[in-house]
Amino acid sequence: MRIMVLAIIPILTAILGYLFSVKYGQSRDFWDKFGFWHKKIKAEIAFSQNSLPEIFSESKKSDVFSDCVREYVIGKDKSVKLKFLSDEESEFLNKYLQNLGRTDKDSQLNFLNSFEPELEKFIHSADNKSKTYRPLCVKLGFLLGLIIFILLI
Amino acid sequence: MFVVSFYFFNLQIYYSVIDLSFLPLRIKNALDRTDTDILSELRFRTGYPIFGLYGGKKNYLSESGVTLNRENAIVCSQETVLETVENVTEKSLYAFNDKLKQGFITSKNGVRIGVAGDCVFDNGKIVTIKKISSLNIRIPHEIKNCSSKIFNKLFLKETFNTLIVSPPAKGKTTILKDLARKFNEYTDYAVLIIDERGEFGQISGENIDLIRFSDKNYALNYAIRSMSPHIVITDELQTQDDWKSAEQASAGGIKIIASCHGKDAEDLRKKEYFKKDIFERYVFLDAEKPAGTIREISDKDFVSL
Repeated sequence: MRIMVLAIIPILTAILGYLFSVKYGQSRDFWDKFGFWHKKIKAEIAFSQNSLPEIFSESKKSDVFSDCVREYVIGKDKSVKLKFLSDEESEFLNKYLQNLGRTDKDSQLNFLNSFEPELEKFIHSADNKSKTYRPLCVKLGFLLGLIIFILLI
Repeated sequence: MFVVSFYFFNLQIYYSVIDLSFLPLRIKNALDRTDTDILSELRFRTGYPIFGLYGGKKNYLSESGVTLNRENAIVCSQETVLETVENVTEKSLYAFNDKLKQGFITSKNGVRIGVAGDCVFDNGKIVTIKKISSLNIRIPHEIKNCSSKIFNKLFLKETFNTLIVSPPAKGKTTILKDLARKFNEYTDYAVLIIDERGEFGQISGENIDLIRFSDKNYALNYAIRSMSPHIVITDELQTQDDWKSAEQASAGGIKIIASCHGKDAEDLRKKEYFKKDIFERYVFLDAEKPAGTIREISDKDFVSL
């Protein structure tokens, strides 16, 4: 009976590890959507020249990225702070949003192009971190639980 | 909010089409305390009191409404100008830059805002206007039946190429809008409106096609081929291209109704690009009387009808 109760510990620690790794998944999803949106906005600015609220009204989707940018563009938020983003990432996001829409078409396209390499870097970094750390956290959690289990048995 | 009055035996219904939600809160609150039906213009100049044309006269805007006392007026700050521009452009200046280069932006509801600031040139062509310091907000009004006299006199039996002439802010666009409505309501003509500045925003109807934000030349060329209009209504013939477009439309058998800045026939004749053969009728609005007052309707030789 005691062994069976203690056997729950590795499962619980693995779940804790998973919960700890959720931020990497959120970060990856965020940067993925950012990358997709970046391409979309470039096309919009270059061709249809719809305003930002019009672009948002086309998509009713609600996710962390869309919500935060929507709030920034349509609402009165002057800066965005998301807990799963590092300081460097937050700074980049805010710089991006602060410049968005504020200049003429050519300058906007130049500005978006200039941000692209850094954006790509964040997208890859978030993807790599998610691929590496998410399973690692679960495994480490499980291992920790296993050690506790062995010590207690 | 509307006022009904009798004028030249035509029932005219005035109603403002004012959605000034793009203005900063402080200005909006001040305007809530004024009768915006008779407010036709607001001027923002950084560092100076805000004023407007209220009932045709200069009045300052204070926290408690309009005032003649300059001391009580709200002083326009750079933030006021920037916030207004940001709200009108919905933080999407790139979508308005083509208009901005021409010195104006237009709100969603057709409020035209003239801008002044530093022009940026590249290779001899204007790229944008930055450091915007002044705004001239033209507040549009709808006056139903304001064109009755013109419509009854000129368009009841046949149609004529017609030019409406007046100094700025004397009701040319308002009359054109009402004429479009009347053609839509009382005739089967296909009416094409070429709205270069987005000022006809509210107009629609089963006989009306609306081309917005395109220059007259381009819009006419493609619309004549694709939309087969009977009548083209357009605002403010100014440039050589505008006059050429009007001439082409007229030569193609399309009736054109347009407007032009000017005081009288003499003033019109002096215009560099004015072409006498295009228009068959001229409507001169009175520069001294309230906006929309017709001074004279004349034929192609400027003989009063």
